[in-house]
Amino acid sequence: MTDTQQRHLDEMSKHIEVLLHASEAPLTANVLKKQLSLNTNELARALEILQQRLDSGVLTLHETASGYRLQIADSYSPLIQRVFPQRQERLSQALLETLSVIAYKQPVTRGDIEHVRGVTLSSNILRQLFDKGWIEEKGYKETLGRPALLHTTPQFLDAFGLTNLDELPALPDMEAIKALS
Amino acid sequence: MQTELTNQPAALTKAASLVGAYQNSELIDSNGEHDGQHEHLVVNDMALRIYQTPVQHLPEDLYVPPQAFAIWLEQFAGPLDFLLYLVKKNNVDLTQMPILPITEQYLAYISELDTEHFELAGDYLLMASTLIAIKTELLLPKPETPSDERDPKAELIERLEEYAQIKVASQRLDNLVRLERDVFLAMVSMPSQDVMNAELPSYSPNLLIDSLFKMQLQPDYQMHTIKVDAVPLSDRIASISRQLSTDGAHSFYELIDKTQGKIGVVVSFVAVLELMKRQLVGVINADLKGHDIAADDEFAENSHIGQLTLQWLA
Repeated sequence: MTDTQQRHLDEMSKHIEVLLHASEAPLTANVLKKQLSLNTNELARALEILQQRLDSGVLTLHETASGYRLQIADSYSPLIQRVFPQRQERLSQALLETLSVIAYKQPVTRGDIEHVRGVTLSSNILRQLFDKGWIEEKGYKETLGRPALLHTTPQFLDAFGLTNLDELPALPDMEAIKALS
Repeated sequence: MQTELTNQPAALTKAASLVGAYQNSELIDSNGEHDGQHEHLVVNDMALRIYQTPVQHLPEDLYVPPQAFAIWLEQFAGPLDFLLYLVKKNNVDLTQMPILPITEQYLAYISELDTEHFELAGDYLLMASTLIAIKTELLLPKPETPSDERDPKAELIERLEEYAQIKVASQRLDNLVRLERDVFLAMVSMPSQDVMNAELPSYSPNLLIDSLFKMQLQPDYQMHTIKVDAVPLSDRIASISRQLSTDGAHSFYELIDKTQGKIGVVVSFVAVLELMKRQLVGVINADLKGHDIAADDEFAENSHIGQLTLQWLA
């Protein structure tokens, strides 16, 4: 690689950093390639340079379901948790169970969730999940009343550090469940 | 306090033991059913404590408010969760769930439920009725012909298994590294609107004064539009017909309404043409020959028009 190319990639890695800082949402590889006129190979090398440069600081480059984002290096999480305890939100069991039914059994209707959990679904829980952008309604089940079908969103994957649904923790097998009781 | 206790001793002692029971599994199994197993579903460190001192036995005269049971039930995510807890407490395999004792225990707990908390009870009562239905079926002799319906007990066990699976899955989901709990976004935000505004080129306040002066010095031009009264053709036709039918004949000049201006002349002429077309009006003489009309002689022009005399025919 010539010096010129190297300097260009260095500069591009800075451009990527600027865009990631300025963007509110993660940026996909396609957006970065298009906006900075990079090919796949150049983007990979520029990202590598960026990560190397970040290593000397407190940030880290992270790839999520909806693209690349900058986050604070894991080793500093305890500090943030100590200083800003209000930033850590505890999720209720009811909310987690509802989210799990949607994540593992999607697409599901409200009725499906109620059937699995045996509890009337509180609209408050669903609203919380919608507000977080973790679930969305897409399509209808062709049955009586055409209930809306619920899916998880890329934001859900982002929030749980997953790049796709296959990375969800495995469902416990039934034998383990029986032994548990 | 003591009186209250003696008034409803059974209910209160039960509620008291319930409150303690969930928090410390040791107490539940006081009747010799202690399974010695590790608690999986109940968080262990929830043992009842007062000022960091673990409490093994509840004081006998402890007052437990009637809502205690409702509060206790809120610990469970629902009737399936509660049922799982009972199955576990009985130390039996889920698939071998003995319906009779479980149903009785479930109903015993539910009967304590305060009638004031029916909004909480709905799902639990539904489960109670399911359990009673299954129990009834077990007590009744089996019909000779096998029914097409699914075995309700198997169905309930299936639901319990499915729920238990989701419950464990939800705990695993909660254990995942979560954004804004375990990892944090680097929040470099765009400069705020105030900062951005401060960066804008600044203007002198004199600009405002200047523009005010300029505004006042300039003459006040106002747009005038001159409104021309419309001359509808039908009105002209009607008016000309009226004049001609009354008087028999008129010169064209007499038929023109001078207040209507040039457009009035044109419309009047069209009106006359229209009447001629309808054969209501005829031209008596149209002697257009032998007139020397000076361009600037208005009278001559008028008298020229006067040559055209119209007559009512109808």
